[in-house]
Amino acid sequence: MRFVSAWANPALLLAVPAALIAGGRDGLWLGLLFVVAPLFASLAAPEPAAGGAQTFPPAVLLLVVGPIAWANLSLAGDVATWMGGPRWLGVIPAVLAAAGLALWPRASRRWLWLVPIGLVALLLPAAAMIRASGSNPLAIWTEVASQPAFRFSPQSPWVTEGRPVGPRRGLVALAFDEEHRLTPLDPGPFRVEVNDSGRIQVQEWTLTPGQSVTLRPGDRLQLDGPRRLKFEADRRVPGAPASGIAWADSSFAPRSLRLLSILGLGLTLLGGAVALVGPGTVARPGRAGVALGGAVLLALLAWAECWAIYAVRWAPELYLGGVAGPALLELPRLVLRGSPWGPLLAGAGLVGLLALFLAASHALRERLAGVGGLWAGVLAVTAFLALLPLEPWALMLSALGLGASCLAPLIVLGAPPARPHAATWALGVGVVLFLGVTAAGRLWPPAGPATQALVAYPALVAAPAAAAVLRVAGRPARA
Amino acid sequence: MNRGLFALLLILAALPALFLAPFDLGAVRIAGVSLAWWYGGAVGPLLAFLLTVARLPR
Repeated sequence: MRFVSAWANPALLLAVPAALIAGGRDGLWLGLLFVVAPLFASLAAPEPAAGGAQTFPPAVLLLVVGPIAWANLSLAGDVATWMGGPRWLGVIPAVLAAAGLALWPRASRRWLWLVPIGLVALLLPAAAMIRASGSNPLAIWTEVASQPAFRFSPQSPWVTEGRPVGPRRGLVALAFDEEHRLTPLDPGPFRVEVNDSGRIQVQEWTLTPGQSVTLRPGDRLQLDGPRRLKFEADRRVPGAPASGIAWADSSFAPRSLRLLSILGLGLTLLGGAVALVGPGTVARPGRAGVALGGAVLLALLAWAECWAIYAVRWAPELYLGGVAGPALLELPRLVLRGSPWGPLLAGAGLVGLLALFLAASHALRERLAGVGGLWAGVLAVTAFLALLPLEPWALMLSALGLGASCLAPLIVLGAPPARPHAATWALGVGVVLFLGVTAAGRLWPPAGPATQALVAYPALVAAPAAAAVLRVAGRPARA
Repeated sequence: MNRGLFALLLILAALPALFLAPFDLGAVRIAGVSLAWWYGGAVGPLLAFLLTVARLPR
Protein backbone atom coordinates (compact mmCIF):
# COMPACT_ATOMS: atom_id res chain seq x y z
CA MET A 1 0.00 0.00 0.00
CA ARG A 2 2.86 2.32 0.94
CA PHE A 3 4.29 2.19 -2.57
CA VAL A 4 1.12 3.56 -4.23
CA SER A 5 0.45 6.34 -1.71
CA ALA A 6 2.79 8.86 -3.32
CA TRP A 7 1.63 7.83 -6.78
CA ALA A 8 -2.16 7.95 -6.26
CA ASN A 9 -2.18 11.66 -5.46
CA PRO A 10 -5.18 13.81 -6.50
CA ALA A 11 -3.36 15.78 -9.24
CA LEU A 12 -2.38 12.58 -11.06
CA LEU A 13 -5.61 10.72 -10.29
CA LEU A 14 -7.95 13.48 -11.54
CA ALA A 15 -5.92 13.70 -14.75
CA VAL A 16 -7.13 10.17 -15.69
CA PRO A 17 -10.91 10.89 -15.94
CA ALA A 18 -10.10 14.31 -17.43
CA ALA A 19 -7.99 12.63 -20.16
CA LEU A 20 -10.70 10.01 -20.81
CA ILE A 21 -13.37 12.71 -21.15
CA ALA A 22 -11.28 15.07 -23.27
CA GLY A 23 -9.40 12.51 -25.36
CA GLY A 24 -11.84 9.57 -25.42
CA ARG A 25 -9.90 6.56 -26.67
CA ASP A 26 -6.56 8.45 -26.44
CA GLY A 27 -7.12 8.90 -22.68
CA LEU A 28 -6.90 5.11 -22.20
CA TRP A 29 -3.12 5.38 -22.53
CA LEU A 30 -2.88 7.53 -19.39
CA GLY A 31 -5.31 5.18 -17.59
CA LEU A 32 -3.20 2.12 -18.45
CA LEU A 33 0.02 3.89 -17.44
CA PHE A 34 -1.56 5.00 -14.15
CA VAL A 35 -1.80 1.32 -13.13
CA VAL A 36 1.19 -0.21 -14.92
CA ALA A 37 3.85 2.45 -14.13
CA PRO A 38 4.01 1.86 -10.34
CA LEU A 39 3.86 -1.92 -10.91
CA PHE A 40 6.80 -1.55 -13.32
CA ALA A 41 8.61 0.52 -10.69
CA SER A 42 8.02 -2.13 -8.02
CA LEU A 43 9.78 -4.68 -10.26
CA ALA A 44 12.54 -2.23 -11.24
CA ALA A 45 13.32 -1.22 -7.63
CA PRO A 46 16.72 -2.54 -6.50
CA GLU A 47 16.91 -5.95 -4.83
CA PRO A 48 17.98 -5.83 -1.15
CA ALA A 49 20.86 -8.15 -2.02
CA ALA A 50 22.04 -5.72 -4.68
CA GLY A 51 22.54 -2.93 -2.23
CA GLY A 52 18.95 -2.09 -1.23
CA ALA A 53 17.91 1.53 -1.41
CA GLN A 54 20.17 4.02 -3.13
CA THR A 55 20.81 7.44 -1.71
CA PHE A 56 20.54 10.56 -3.84
CA PRO A 57 21.41 14.21 -3.20
CA PRO A 58 18.51 16.00 -1.43
CA ALA A 59 18.40 18.63 -4.18
CA VAL A 60 17.62 15.92 -6.77
CA LEU A 61 14.90 14.35 -4.61
CA LEU A 62 13.44 17.82 -4.09
CA LEU A 63 13.19 18.31 -7.87
CA VAL A 64 10.71 15.42 -7.96
CA VAL A 65 8.96 15.68 -4.58
CA GLY A 66 8.59 19.49 -4.59
CA PRO A 67 6.65 19.87 -7.87
CA ILE A 68 4.35 16.96 -6.89
CA ALA A 69 3.44 18.77 -3.64
CA TRP A 70 3.11 22.00 -5.64
CA ALA A 71 0.79 20.35 -8.22
CA ASN A 72 -1.51 19.03 -5.50
CA LEU A 73 -1.64 22.32 -3.59
CA SER A 74 -2.28 24.13 -6.88
CA LEU A 75 -5.18 21.72 -7.47
CA ALA A 76 -6.51 22.59 -3.98
CA GLY A 77 -6.37 26.27 -5.00
CA ASP A 78 -8.20 25.48 -8.27
CA VAL A 79 -10.92 23.63 -6.32
CA ALA A 80 -11.39 26.67 -4.07
CA THR A 81 -11.65 28.96 -7.12
CA TRP A 82 -14.14 26.59 -8.75
CA MET A 83 -16.24 26.74 -5.56
CA GLY A 84 -16.26 30.53 -5.84
CA GLY A 85 -13.64 31.35 -3.18
CA PRO A 86 -10.09 32.71 -3.29
CA ARG A 87 -7.21 30.28 -3.94
CA TRP A 88 -5.78 30.50 -0.43
CA LEU A 89 -9.01 29.01 0.94
CA GLY A 90 -8.05 25.72 -0.72
CA VAL A 91 -4.27 25.92 -0.36
CA ILE A 92 -3.92 26.93 3.30
CA PRO A 93 -6.27 24.28 4.85
CA ALA A 94 -4.64 21.57 2.69
CA VAL A 95 -1.11 22.58 3.70
CA LEU A 96 -2.10 22.89 7.37
CA ALA A 97 -3.65 19.40 7.29
CA ALA A 98 -0.46 17.98 5.70
CA ALA A 99 1.73 19.74 8.28
CA GLY A 100 -0.56 18.56 11.11
CA LEU A 101 -0.28 14.96 9.90
CA ALA A 102 3.51 15.25 9.91
CA LEU A 103 3.62 16.76 13.41
CA TRP A 104 1.00 14.60 15.16
CA PRO A 105 2.76 11.31 16.00
CA ARG A 106 -0.43 9.24 16.46
CA ALA A 107 -1.88 10.30 13.10
CA SER A 108 1.53 9.83 11.56
CA ARG A 109 1.54 6.14 12.63
CA ARG A 110 -1.88 5.44 11.09
CA TRP A 111 -1.55 7.42 7.88
CA LEU A 112 -1.88 4.33 5.68
CA TRP A 113 -5.58 4.18 6.63
CA LEU A 114 -6.05 7.38 4.64
CA VAL A 115 -5.79 5.43 1.37
CA PRO A 116 -8.80 3.11 1.99
CA ILE A 117 -10.76 6.05 3.45
CA GLY A 118 -10.07 8.06 0.29
CA LEU A 119 -10.94 5.10 -1.93
CA VAL A 120 -14.30 4.50 -0.22
CA ALA A 121 -15.16 8.21 -0.29
CA LEU A 122 -14.50 8.28 -4.04
CA LEU A 123 -16.27 5.00 -4.86
CA LEU A 124 -19.41 5.95 -2.90
CA PRO A 125 -20.58 8.69 -5.33
CA ALA A 126 -19.67 6.48 -8.31
CA ALA A 127 -21.84 3.65 -6.90
CA ALA A 128 -24.67 6.11 -6.23
CA MET A 129 -24.53 7.39 -9.82
CA ILE A 130 -24.61 3.83 -11.20
CA ARG A 131 -27.63 3.04 -9.01
CA ALA A 132 -29.46 6.27 -9.89
CA SER A 133 -28.90 5.88 -13.64
CA GLY A 134 -30.36 2.36 -13.55
CA SER A 135 -27.75 0.93 -15.92
CA ASN A 136 -24.19 -0.31 -15.59
CA PRO A 137 -21.13 1.53 -16.96
CA LEU A 138 -20.80 -0.88 -19.93
CA ALA A 139 -24.37 -0.14 -21.05
CA ILE A 140 -23.77 3.59 -20.57
CA TRP A 141 -20.54 3.36 -22.63
CA THR A 142 -22.51 1.71 -25.48
CA GLU A 143 -25.17 4.42 -25.19
CA VAL A 144 -22.53 7.20 -25.32
CA ALA A 145 -20.69 5.60 -28.25
CA SER A 146 -23.91 5.58 -30.31
CA GLN A 147 -24.94 9.19 -29.59
CA PRO A 148 -25.17 11.26 -32.79
CA ALA A 149 -24.10 14.46 -30.92
CA PHE A 150 -23.55 15.88 -27.44
CA ARG A 151 -26.33 18.40 -26.78
CA PHE A 152 -27.49 20.61 -23.90
CA SER A 153 -30.38 18.97 -22.07
CA PRO A 154 -33.36 21.25 -21.27
CA GLN A 155 -32.72 20.61 -17.53
CA SER A 156 -29.04 21.55 -17.72
CA PRO A 157 -28.06 24.33 -15.28
CA TRP A 158 -26.22 25.97 -18.21
CA VAL A 159 -29.65 26.27 -19.91
CA THR A 160 -32.00 26.96 -17.00
CA GLU A 161 -30.00 29.40 -14.86
CA GLY A 162 -26.67 30.00 -16.67
CA ARG A 163 -23.21 29.09 -15.38
CA PRO A 164 -19.68 30.57 -15.51
CA VAL A 165 -17.77 29.38 -18.57
CA GLY A 166 -14.17 30.18 -19.44
CA PRO A 167 -10.62 29.54 -18.41
CA ARG A 168 -9.14 30.28 -14.97
CA ARG A 169 -5.96 31.21 -16.83
CA GLY A 170 -5.20 32.11 -20.46
CA LEU A 171 -7.63 32.50 -23.31
CA VAL A 172 -10.12 30.04 -24.75
CA ALA A 173 -12.40 30.13 -27.78
CA LEU A 174 -15.74 28.30 -27.89
CA ALA A 175 -16.34 27.06 -31.45
CA PHE A 176 -19.98 26.81 -32.51
CA ASP A 177 -20.92 24.16 -35.09
CA GLU A 178 -24.54 25.21 -35.46
CA GLU A 179 -26.72 28.28 -34.88
CA HIS A 180 -26.87 28.96 -31.14
CA ARG A 181 -28.70 31.62 -29.13
CA LEU A 182 -26.48 32.71 -26.25
CA THR A 183 -27.35 34.95 -23.31
CA PRO A 184 -24.52 36.51 -21.30
CA LEU A 185 -25.63 37.17 -17.72
CA ASP A 186 -22.72 39.45 -16.76
CA PRO A 187 -22.11 42.91 -18.20
CA GLY A 188 -19.02 43.47 -20.34
CA PRO A 189 -17.81 43.22 -23.93
CA PHE A 190 -18.60 40.12 -25.94
CA ARG A 191 -15.85 39.23 -28.46
CA VAL A 192 -16.66 36.88 -31.33
CA GLU A 193 -14.53 35.68 -34.26
CA VAL A 194 -17.05 35.78 -37.09
CA ASN A 195 -16.60 33.57 -40.14
CA ASP A 196 -18.03 35.55 -43.04
CA SER A 197 -17.76 33.32 -46.15
CA GLY A 198 -14.23 32.29 -45.20
CA ARG A 199 -13.17 35.78 -44.03
CA ILE A 200 -12.40 35.85 -40.28
CA GLN A 201 -13.03 39.09 -38.41
CA VAL A 202 -13.31 39.81 -34.70
CA GLN A 203 -16.45 41.69 -33.67
CA GLU A 204 -17.01 43.13 -30.22
CA TRP A 205 -20.48 43.81 -28.86
CA THR A 206 -21.59 45.26 -25.55
CA LEU A 207 -24.76 43.58 -24.38
CA THR A 208 -26.87 44.41 -21.36
CA PRO A 209 -27.29 41.45 -18.93
CA GLY A 210 -30.07 39.18 -20.19
CA GLN A 211 -29.79 40.35 -23.83
CA SER A 212 -29.21 37.50 -26.30
CA VAL A 213 -27.08 37.07 -29.37
CA THR A 214 -27.27 34.42 -32.09
CA LEU A 215 -23.99 32.84 -33.16
CA ARG A 216 -23.72 31.10 -36.53
CA PRO A 217 -21.86 27.91 -37.48
CA GLY A 218 -18.11 28.62 -37.62
CA ASP A 219 -18.26 31.51 -35.13
CA ARG A 220 -15.90 31.39 -32.15
CA LEU A 221 -16.60 33.13 -28.86
CA GLN A 222 -13.38 34.40 -27.21
CA LEU A 223 -13.24 34.12 -23.41
CA ASP A 224 -10.31 35.40 -21.33
CA GLY A 225 -11.86 34.48 -17.97
CA PRO A 226 -14.95 32.89 -16.40
CA ARG A 227 -18.13 34.51 -17.71
CA ARG A 228 -21.74 33.55 -16.79
CA LEU A 229 -23.50 32.36 -19.93
CA LYS A 230 -26.89 30.82 -20.68
CA PHE A 231 -27.05 28.36 -23.58
CA GLU A 232 -29.90 27.08 -25.75
CA ALA A 233 -31.42 23.64 -25.08
CA ASP A 234 -30.95 20.78 -27.59
CA ARG A 235 -27.99 22.50 -29.28
CA ARG A 236 -24.53 20.96 -29.61
CA VAL A 237 -22.15 21.63 -26.70
CA PRO A 238 -19.24 23.74 -28.07
CA GLY A 239 -15.94 21.91 -27.60
CA ALA A 240 -17.52 18.45 -27.28
CA PRO A 241 -16.52 15.70 -29.76
CA ALA A 242 -18.54 15.60 -32.99
CA SER A 243 -20.35 12.39 -31.96
CA GLY A 244 -20.26 9.48 -29.55
CA ILE A 245 -18.40 7.30 -32.01
CA ALA A 246 -15.77 10.06 -32.50
CA TRP A 247 -15.22 10.08 -28.73
CA ALA A 248 -15.11 6.29 -28.38
CA ASP A 249 -13.10 5.24 -31.42
CA SER A 250 -11.20 8.17 -32.93
CA SER A 251 -7.99 9.94 -32.09
CA PHE A 252 -8.00 13.74 -31.91
CA ALA A 253 -4.25 14.16 -32.50
CA PRO A 254 -2.44 13.85 -35.87
CA ARG A 255 -0.73 10.47 -36.37
CA SER A 256 2.86 11.80 -36.36
CA LEU A 257 2.33 13.68 -33.08
CA ARG A 258 0.39 10.76 -31.59
CA LEU A 259 3.26 8.26 -31.78
CA LEU A 260 5.80 10.58 -30.14
CA SER A 261 3.27 11.72 -27.52
CA ILE A 262 2.49 8.10 -26.64
CA LEU A 263 6.20 7.42 -26.24
CA GLY A 264 6.82 10.65 -24.31
CA LEU A 265 3.96 10.15 -21.86
CA GLY A 266 4.95 6.51 -21.42
CA LEU A 267 8.60 7.31 -20.69
CA THR A 268 7.66 10.19 -18.36
CA LEU A 269 5.23 8.14 -16.27
CA LEU A 270 7.29 4.94 -16.18
CA GLY A 271 10.47 6.83 -15.26
CA GLY A 272 8.62 9.07 -12.83
CA ALA A 273 7.14 6.06 -11.07
CA VAL A 274 10.58 4.44 -10.81
CA ALA A 275 11.92 7.67 -9.28
CA LEU A 276 9.06 7.83 -6.78
CA VAL A 277 9.08 4.18 -5.73
CA GLY A 278 12.83 3.57 -6.05
CA PRO A 279 14.70 5.86 -3.63
CA GLY A 280 13.77 6.01 0.02
CA THR A 281 12.40 2.49 0.16
CA VAL A 282 14.56 0.17 2.26
CA ALA A 283 13.80 -2.80 0.06
CA ARG A 284 11.54 -3.35 -2.89
CA PRO A 285 7.89 -3.97 -1.89
CA GLY A 286 6.89 -7.57 -1.27
CA ARG A 287 4.13 -9.55 -2.96
CA ALA A 288 1.46 -8.74 -0.35
CA GLY A 289 2.22 -5.01 -0.49
CA VAL A 290 2.11 -4.91 -4.28
CA ALA A 291 -1.08 -7.02 -4.36
CA LEU A 292 -2.82 -4.61 -1.99
CA GLY A 293 -1.43 -1.49 -3.71
CA GLY A 294 -2.23 -2.90 -7.15
CA ALA A 295 -5.82 -3.62 -6.08
CA VAL A 296 -6.13 0.02 -4.96
CA LEU A 297 -4.80 1.21 -8.33
CA LEU A 298 -7.26 -1.02 -10.21
CA ALA A 299 -10.14 0.30 -8.07
CA LEU A 300 -9.04 3.90 -8.73
CA LEU A 301 -8.83 3.23 -12.48
CA ALA A 302 -12.36 1.72 -12.39
CA TRP A 303 -13.51 4.86 -10.54
CA ALA A 304 -11.88 7.13 -13.14
CA GLU A 305 -13.47 5.21 -16.03
CA CYS A 306 -16.94 5.29 -14.44
CA TRP A 307 -16.53 8.99 -13.72
CA ALA A 308 -15.55 9.71 -17.34
CA ILE A 309 -18.30 7.61 -18.93
CA TYR A 310 -21.03 9.11 -16.72
CA ALA A 311 -19.66 12.62 -17.29
CA VAL A 312 -19.77 12.26 -21.07
CA ARG A 313 -23.28 10.78 -20.90
CA TRP A 314 -24.91 13.05 -18.33
CA ALA A 315 -22.79 16.21 -18.22
CA PRO A 316 -21.27 17.00 -21.66
CA GLU A 317 -21.29 20.64 -20.49
CA LEU A 318 -17.96 19.80 -18.80
CA TYR A 319 -16.40 20.19 -22.28
CA LEU A 320 -17.16 23.94 -22.23
CA GLY A 321 -13.87 25.81 -22.13
CA GLY A 322 -11.82 22.59 -21.74
CA VAL A 323 -12.19 19.72 -19.25
CA ALA A 324 -10.96 20.96 -15.85
CA GLY A 325 -10.15 18.58 -12.97
CA PRO A 326 -11.96 20.50 -10.20
CA ALA A 327 -15.18 20.72 -12.27
CA LEU A 328 -15.31 16.89 -12.35
CA LEU A 329 -16.08 16.90 -8.63
CA GLU A 330 -19.49 18.37 -9.45
CA LEU A 331 -20.51 15.29 -11.46
CA PRO A 332 -22.77 13.69 -8.77
CA ARG A 333 -24.76 16.95 -8.60
CA LEU A 334 -25.15 17.01 -12.37
CA VAL A 335 -26.12 13.33 -12.65
CA LEU A 336 -28.48 13.34 -9.65
CA ARG A 337 -30.15 16.64 -10.63
CA GLY A 338 -32.64 17.80 -8.01
CA SER A 339 -31.68 15.10 -5.48
CA PRO A 340 -30.53 16.27 -2.03
CA TRP A 341 -27.83 13.55 -2.19
CA GLY A 342 -26.05 15.20 -5.13
CA PRO A 343 -24.17 17.90 -3.12
CA LEU A 344 -23.42 15.40 -0.32
CA LEU A 345 -21.90 12.92 -2.75
CA ALA A 346 -19.90 15.71 -4.41
CA GLY A 347 -18.61 16.52 -0.90
CA ALA A 348 -17.69 12.84 -0.39
CA GLY A 349 -15.55 13.02 -3.54
CA LEU A 350 -13.78 16.06 -2.13
CA VAL A 351 -13.15 14.25 1.17
CA GLY A 352 -11.75 11.29 -0.79
CA LEU A 353 -9.31 13.52 -2.66
CA LEU A 354 -8.23 15.23 0.58
CA ALA A 355 -7.55 11.84 2.19
CA LEU A 356 -5.48 10.74 -0.82
CA PHE A 357 -3.59 14.05 -0.74
CA LEU A 358 -2.72 13.58 2.94
CA ALA A 359 -1.56 10.00 2.31
CA ALA A 360 0.53 11.20 -0.64
CA SER A 361 2.01 14.07 1.40
CA HIS A 362 3.11 11.61 4.10
CA ALA A 363 4.60 9.24 1.54
CA LEU A 364 6.46 12.13 -0.13
CA ARG A 365 7.77 13.19 3.28
CA GLU A 366 9.11 9.66 3.74
CA ARG A 367 10.99 9.99 0.43
CA LEU A 368 12.83 12.93 1.98
CA ALA A 369 13.52 11.02 5.22
CA GLY A 370 17.02 11.63 6.47
CA VAL A 371 16.99 15.19 5.17
CA GLY A 372 15.90 16.66 8.48
CA GLY A 373 13.09 19.18 8.58
CA LEU A 374 13.10 19.69 4.83
CA TRP A 375 9.43 18.71 4.50
CA ALA A 376 8.27 21.80 6.42
CA GLY A 377 10.25 23.96 4.01
CA VAL A 378 8.81 22.13 0.98
CA LEU A 379 5.26 22.68 2.27
CA ALA A 380 5.87 26.36 3.00
CA VAL A 381 7.44 27.13 -0.38
CA THR A 382 4.96 25.09 -2.46
CA ALA A 383 1.99 26.59 -0.55
CA PHE A 384 3.25 30.05 -1.46
CA LEU A 385 3.79 29.05 -5.10
CA ALA A 386 0.35 27.38 -5.28
CA LEU A 387 -1.31 30.75 -4.69
CA LEU A 388 -0.39 31.53 -8.32
CA PRO A 389 -2.70 29.78 -10.78
CA LEU A 390 -0.64 27.13 -12.59
CA GLU A 391 -1.88 23.99 -14.32
CA PRO A 392 -1.50 21.06 -11.83
CA TRP A 393 -1.08 18.51 -14.63
CA ALA A 394 1.80 20.50 -16.17
CA LEU A 395 3.54 20.57 -12.77
CA MET A 396 2.95 16.85 -12.31
CA LEU A 397 4.42 16.09 -15.76
CA SER A 398 7.47 18.22 -14.91
CA ALA A 399 8.00 16.38 -11.62
CA LEU A 400 7.68 12.94 -13.19
CA GLY A 401 9.75 13.99 -16.21
CA LEU A 402 12.58 15.19 -13.97
CA GLY A 403 12.42 11.92 -12.05
CA ALA A 404 12.51 9.98 -15.33
CA SER A 405 15.45 12.05 -16.62
CA CYS A 406 17.79 12.01 -13.64
CA LEU A 407 16.80 9.36 -11.07
CA ALA A 408 15.26 6.55 -13.15
CA PRO A 409 18.41 5.77 -15.22
CA LEU A 410 20.42 5.42 -11.98
CA ILE A 411 17.83 3.20 -10.32
CA VAL A 412 17.26 0.93 -13.33
CA LEU A 413 20.90 0.68 -14.52
CA GLY A 414 22.50 1.06 -11.09
CA ALA A 415 25.37 3.41 -10.19
CA PRO A 416 28.75 1.91 -11.21
CA PRO A 417 30.72 1.27 -7.97
CA ALA A 418 34.10 1.65 -9.73
CA ARG A 419 33.23 5.12 -11.04
CA PRO A 420 31.23 7.11 -8.46
CA HIS A 421 31.48 10.28 -10.56
CA ALA A 422 29.51 8.64 -13.39
CA ALA A 423 26.31 8.88 -11.30
CA THR A 424 26.89 12.60 -10.67
CA TRP A 425 27.52 13.19 -14.37
CA ALA A 426 24.35 11.30 -15.34
CA LEU A 427 22.27 13.23 -12.78
CA GLY A 428 23.67 16.53 -14.05
CA VAL A 429 23.08 15.73 -17.72
CA GLY A 430 19.52 14.57 -16.99
CA VAL A 431 18.59 17.72 -15.06
CA VAL A 432 20.32 20.18 -17.42
CA LEU A 433 18.87 18.63 -20.58
CA PHE A 434 15.37 18.43 -19.09
CA LEU A 435 15.39 22.06 -17.96
CA GLY A 436 17.14 23.19 -21.15
CA VAL A 437 14.57 21.60 -23.49
CA THR A 438 11.72 22.98 -21.34
CA ALA A 439 13.19 26.50 -21.41
CA ALA A 440 13.89 26.34 -25.15
CA GLY A 441 10.27 25.29 -25.75
CA ARG A 442 9.03 28.31 -23.77
CA LEU A 443 11.36 30.76 -25.56
CA TRP A 444 10.85 29.41 -29.09
CA PRO A 445 7.43 27.70 -29.33
CA PRO A 446 7.87 24.64 -31.57
CA ALA A 447 6.11 24.36 -34.92
CA GLY A 448 6.56 20.76 -36.08
CA PRO A 449 4.92 17.71 -34.45
CA ALA A 450 8.27 16.13 -33.47
CA THR A 451 9.55 19.25 -31.68
CA GLN A 452 6.13 19.78 -30.06
CA ALA A 453 6.29 16.29 -28.56
CA LEU A 454 9.91 16.79 -27.41
CA VAL A 455 9.01 20.04 -25.66
CA ALA A 456 5.89 18.50 -24.10
CA TYR A 457 7.93 15.50 -22.86
CA PRO A 458 11.60 16.58 -22.43
CA ALA A 459 12.36 13.20 -20.82
CA LEU A 460 12.38 11.81 -24.39
CA VAL A 461 15.75 13.55 -24.81
CA ALA A 462 17.05 13.81 -21.26
CA ALA A 463 16.48 10.23 -20.01
CA PRO A 464 18.30 8.40 -22.86
CA ALA A 465 21.14 10.97 -22.66
CA ALA A 466 21.53 10.44 -18.89
CA ALA A 467 21.49 6.65 -19.38
CA ALA A 468 24.14 6.92 -22.12
CA VAL A 469 26.37 9.10 -19.91
CA LEU A 470 26.00 6.61 -17.07
CA ARG A 471 27.05 3.74 -19.36
CA VAL A 472 29.97 5.57 -20.96
CA ALA A 473 31.33 7.30 -17.85
CA GLY A 474 30.80 4.15 -15.77
CA ARG A 475 33.07 1.92 -17.87
CA PRO A 476 36.08 0.70 -15.89
CA ALA A 477 39.34 2.36 -16.95
CA ARG A 478 41.71 0.27 -19.12
CA ALA A 479 44.91 -0.86 -17.46
CA MET B 1 16.44 -6.88 -18.82
CA ASN B 2 14.29 -8.48 -16.16
CA ARG B 3 11.65 -10.69 -17.88
CA GLY B 4 8.87 -9.20 -15.76
CA LEU B 5 9.74 -5.67 -16.85
CA PHE B 6 9.85 -6.78 -20.48
CA ALA B 7 6.43 -8.41 -20.17
CA LEU B 8 4.98 -5.24 -18.63
CA LEU B 9 6.38 -3.20 -21.51
CA LEU B 10 4.72 -5.63 -23.94
CA ILE B 11 1.40 -5.23 -22.13
CA LEU B 12 1.78 -1.46 -22.47
CA ALA B 13 2.83 -1.60 -26.13
CA ALA B 14 -0.26 -3.62 -27.06
CA LEU B 15 -2.54 -0.59 -26.52
CA PRO B 16 -0.81 1.78 -29.01
CA ALA B 17 -0.58 -1.21 -31.36
CA LEU B 18 -4.39 -1.55 -31.12
CA PHE B 19 -4.79 2.19 -31.79
CA LEU B 20 -2.66 1.95 -34.93
CA ALA B 21 -3.75 -1.51 -36.09
CA PRO B 22 -5.18 -1.76 -39.63
CA PHE B 23 -8.91 -2.14 -40.34
CA ASP B 24 -9.70 -0.19 -37.13
CA LEU B 25 -9.22 -3.35 -35.09
CA GLY B 26 -9.45 -1.40 -31.82
CA ALA B 27 -12.99 -0.31 -32.71
CA VAL B 28 -14.32 -3.90 -32.99
CA ARG B 29 -17.18 -4.30 -30.51
CA ILE B 30 -17.18 -7.11 -27.94
CA ALA B 31 -20.28 -7.20 -25.74
CA GLY B 32 -21.07 -3.65 -26.89
CA VAL B 33 -17.71 -2.15 -25.91
CA SER B 34 -14.75 -1.60 -28.28
CA LEU B 35 -11.68 -3.83 -28.12
CA ALA B 36 -9.39 -0.84 -27.33
CA TRP B 37 -11.54 0.13 -24.34
CA TRP B 38 -11.71 -3.48 -23.09
CA TYR B 39 -7.94 -3.80 -23.33
CA GLY B 40 -6.87 -0.36 -22.07
CA GLY B 41 -9.55 -0.11 -19.41
CA ALA B 42 -9.70 -3.63 -17.99
CA VAL B 43 -7.68 -6.47 -19.53
CA GLY B 44 -4.30 -4.69 -19.78
CA PRO B 45 -4.26 -3.30 -16.21
CA LEU B 46 -5.49 -6.61 -14.78
CA LEU B 47 -2.86 -8.61 -16.72
CA ALA B 48 -0.12 -6.23 -15.52
CA PHE B 49 -1.32 -6.58 -11.93
CA LEU B 50 -1.40 -10.41 -12.03
CA LEU B 51 1.98 -10.60 -13.74
CA THR B 52 3.66 -8.28 -11.21
CA VAL B 53 2.23 -10.13 -8.22
CA ALA B 54 3.37 -13.45 -9.71
CA ARG B 55 6.90 -12.17 -10.36
CA LEU B 56 7.53 -10.77 -6.89
CA PRO B 57 8.93 -12.88 -4.03
CA ARG B 58 6.61 -13.61 -1.08
